[in-house]
Amino acid sequence: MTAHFVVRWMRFMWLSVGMIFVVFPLYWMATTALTPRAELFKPPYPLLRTTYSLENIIELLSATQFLIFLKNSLIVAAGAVCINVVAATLAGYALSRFAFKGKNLFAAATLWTYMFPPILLAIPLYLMFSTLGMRNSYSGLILAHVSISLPLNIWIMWQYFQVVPRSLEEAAWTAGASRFRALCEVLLPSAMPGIISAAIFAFALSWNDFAFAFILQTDIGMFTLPVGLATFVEQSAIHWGLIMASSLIVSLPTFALVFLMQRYLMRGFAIGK
Amino acid sequence: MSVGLTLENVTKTFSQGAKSINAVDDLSLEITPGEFFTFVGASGCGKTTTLRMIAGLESVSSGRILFDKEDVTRIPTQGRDIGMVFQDIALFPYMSIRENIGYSLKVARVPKKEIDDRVERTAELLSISDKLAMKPVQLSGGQQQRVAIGRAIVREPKVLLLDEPLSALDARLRTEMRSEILRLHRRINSTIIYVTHDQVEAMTMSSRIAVMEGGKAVQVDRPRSVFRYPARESVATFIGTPAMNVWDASLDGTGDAPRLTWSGISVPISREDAQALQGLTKVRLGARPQALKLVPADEALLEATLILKEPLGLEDECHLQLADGLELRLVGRVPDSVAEGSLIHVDIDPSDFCVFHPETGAVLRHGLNDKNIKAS
Repeated sequence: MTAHFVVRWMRFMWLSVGMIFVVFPLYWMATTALTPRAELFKPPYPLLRTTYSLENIIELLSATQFLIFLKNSLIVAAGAVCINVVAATLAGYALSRFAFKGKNLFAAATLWTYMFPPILLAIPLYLMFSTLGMRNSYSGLILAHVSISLPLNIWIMWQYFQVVPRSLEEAAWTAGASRFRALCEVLLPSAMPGIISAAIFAFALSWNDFAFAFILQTDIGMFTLPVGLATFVEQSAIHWGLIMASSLIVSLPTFALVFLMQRYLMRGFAIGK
Repeated sequence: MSVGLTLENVTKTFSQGAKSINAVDDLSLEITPGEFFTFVGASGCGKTTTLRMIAGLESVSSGRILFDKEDVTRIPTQGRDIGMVFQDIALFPYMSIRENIGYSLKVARVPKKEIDDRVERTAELLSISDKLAMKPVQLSGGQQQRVAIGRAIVREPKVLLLDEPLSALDARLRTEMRSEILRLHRRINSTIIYVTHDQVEAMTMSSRIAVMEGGKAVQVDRPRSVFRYPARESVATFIGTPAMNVWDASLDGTGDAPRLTWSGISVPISREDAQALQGLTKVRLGARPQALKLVPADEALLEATLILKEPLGLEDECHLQLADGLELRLVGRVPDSVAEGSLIHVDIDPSDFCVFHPETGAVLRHGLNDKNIKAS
């Protein structure tokens, strides 16, 4: 009884320390973003501020290219999510339901590509996309992001389809439904948690990517948010207020997604156990 | 509406690495329209594979499957007009009961109004009318099974295929659903092909059964005939509860007075019997537990110790042990005065014996001394 109690409390303590490391930077980001410009560099720097203003955010939206970066990021992330969901679903289904030559090799190869750091792929991709004229394009960056997120997503969907009983699909076939119809009407609803976690993963990866966007997009009009944010760091000045304000806005969709979808997300990641 | 089926030399080969296994081996049989036909056997005997080939869920390695005169061997599941109930029930979890039952009609683009009518009629037939708005998880196992049956019969398929539909249910429900399925069969009158490992289900429900072993149908007949005239020792011990007693006996006294002897017991047999057993010195002798009768000492064929008595209600299942250790089962009314440990006297009518070949297991004789022998 007491041993159990102690273990529980030690776990809480441990998590609390972890939480401080995770939460404090976020808190500091939010506070800084909402601090009036005049007070930003005026010591002391209190942990709790009393005066807040939207000054930084208003400047961010009116005087910088933030909205363009935001639009670019949204387009690229949406494209990456769409391609990921369709391709990972079909590939996962194929891997789970068909026996074909080289299946194991294919499965191993997808994971293998996942092991390279993005920066290692970015330079060859730069050369390839230069030749193909795909630099500074949405499609180029979308493909680059897909190349990183798709392998893991194929694995997630593969595992997901493996636990959906075959008889479910076969019942639909005996009712006269084609394979594709059975996949859409019977299998996909059951695999929805997997699809949602695949989508979130693809979104988060694309939304947060710096390396690919930095190397592939050289035109400032095509910058995504992470790269655009970096432009606020100038040689003579670092616009902390702007950086923190944009960081705050950038982090909101990720928070919202994870908060709304965490139930599916956890199921998606727990499936392999 | 209901069709007959023909399986012609149907073979299914699975390859496992370098070697290949015939899950179904050169199976040929006819199923007549409206029949309740059951494939029964232990797991791995090929019964489910056979059903799945009839459904088109498994390809046929060689041979043909015909629905009436139409060859469906190469026709995919979707084109075969069948209804199937799966072992794990497999209701569509995200659809309501109404949508589950009506799914095949929706796929066939039947007008909405008609779908509703037919779903409601089917639900009524299976007494689940009040469940139509629910989701599968809200239903009990038995109710889910009814929905699965409803989903399979709603479009009045040519053949209804049932793959161990009751194995997921508990014992009480299983008995209930058994009679329910039978009643349903009488009412809709369609051809039903049923797969089970449970010989009681096979015996009680079927017009005819095929006992499967190693991918072959070792006996195809009416349940009563399979029980009374098993074709092999393995069939004899598989069908019937408790299993048939089978033991070794030797064939002695050739010539004028042929006899079968075991455990110091000797049974005279007829000339015809001896002729049928010609060339053998040993046989396997069988008798159903129900054929062993408690008799007064002077009429007894054998004497045994009652070592265990399991009351079944009206009757008892008794474990007997002969002097040399041979154990036999007896099912019958045993007076309460006969306690475990006492010596009892048992007779077996010659007509109740079965004689099997010691190596092949094939039946050589149903009944001895020319009594009750089935014309072969």
